[in-house]
Amino acid sequence: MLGVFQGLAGIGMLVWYVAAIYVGLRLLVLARRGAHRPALLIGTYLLVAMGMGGAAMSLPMARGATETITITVVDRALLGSGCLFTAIGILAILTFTREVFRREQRWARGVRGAIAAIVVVGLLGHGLTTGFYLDLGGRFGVVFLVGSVLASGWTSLESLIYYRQMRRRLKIGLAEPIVANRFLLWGLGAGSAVALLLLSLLQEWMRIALSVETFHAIRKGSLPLMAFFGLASASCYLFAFSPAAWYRRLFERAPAGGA
Amino acid sequence: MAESGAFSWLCAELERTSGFSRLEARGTVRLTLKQAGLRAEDLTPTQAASVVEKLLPGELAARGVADAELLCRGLAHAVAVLRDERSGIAPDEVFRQLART
Repeated sequence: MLGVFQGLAGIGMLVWYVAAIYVGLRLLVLARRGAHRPALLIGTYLLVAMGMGGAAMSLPMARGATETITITVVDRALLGSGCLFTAIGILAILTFTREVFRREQRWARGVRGAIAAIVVVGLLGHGLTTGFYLDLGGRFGVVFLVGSVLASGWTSLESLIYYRQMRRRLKIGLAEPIVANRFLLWGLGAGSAVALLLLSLLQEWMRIALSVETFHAIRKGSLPLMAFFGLASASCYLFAFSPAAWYRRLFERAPAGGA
Repeated sequence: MAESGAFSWLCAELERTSGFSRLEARGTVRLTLKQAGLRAEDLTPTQAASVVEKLLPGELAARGVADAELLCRGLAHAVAVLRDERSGIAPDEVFRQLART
């Protein structure tokens, strides 16, 4: 049974990485064509942090999740580059969130700076104190994860708040249903990433608090949840930024307020 | 926080034509925009005209303004022809462009 769970989690995470890389690349091409800065920022986040960063970190972590392994130089290089990619992507999404949703508010510059500082301190501290060890359970690893949760959480919250406004606009014909839906999808996609990161934080706590056997057993049990959030996030990115023709048609037929 | 030109113009005109104080006029417009899911800093002339036509008459009537419909019709026509002078692109415009093929 656990083998099935591991397989599901593996598929879920793989789909997440592939979707993030595909949508990220698509947005970067769009940015290159039209010098579109938001597409550049969001594309960097999806490609570099969610896709490349996530994939690089998950390879050694997946091995370490189910068995006790000896960490190699290659593992450390993968983990280090994964953390670096993630940090770069997070800086991009923080800039996206501030520039798109809060460009006129001064406090948003402070929030972006504070979260960026948390992420950079976590990254450097984790590298210097553990040499990018397998788990993120050390003090700085947790700081890094908290920064990542805050960055994804902020963009998710802003998008969902804007979605609420878009629903009001739909009622008086001042919004396109598919654009309103895009805010919902981006908010839910980033929210699923937050859920995945929170699961990682919980696991780091369990790694410290529980015995190795209990930790591995619970870790395996959490795999289906990870698969679910990975698939949810991937679906949201795909439908938001690369919607199929049939999905677009749903909104052409939708009455006002039906996003 | 910088307000859009359409917002500032609308508030000033409402103050001038309705007998509201500056504070009353701005408060009424802000409340109406909130109902419509719009923000003062991103308001375009087209959006302003639509809100003035569809939602503002009810708000003004509730505040005892006589001939609210007529007043709003005039405001809507005038605000619609203003130039869009916002300092940046609104989130909905950004998200519309993000799925361009």
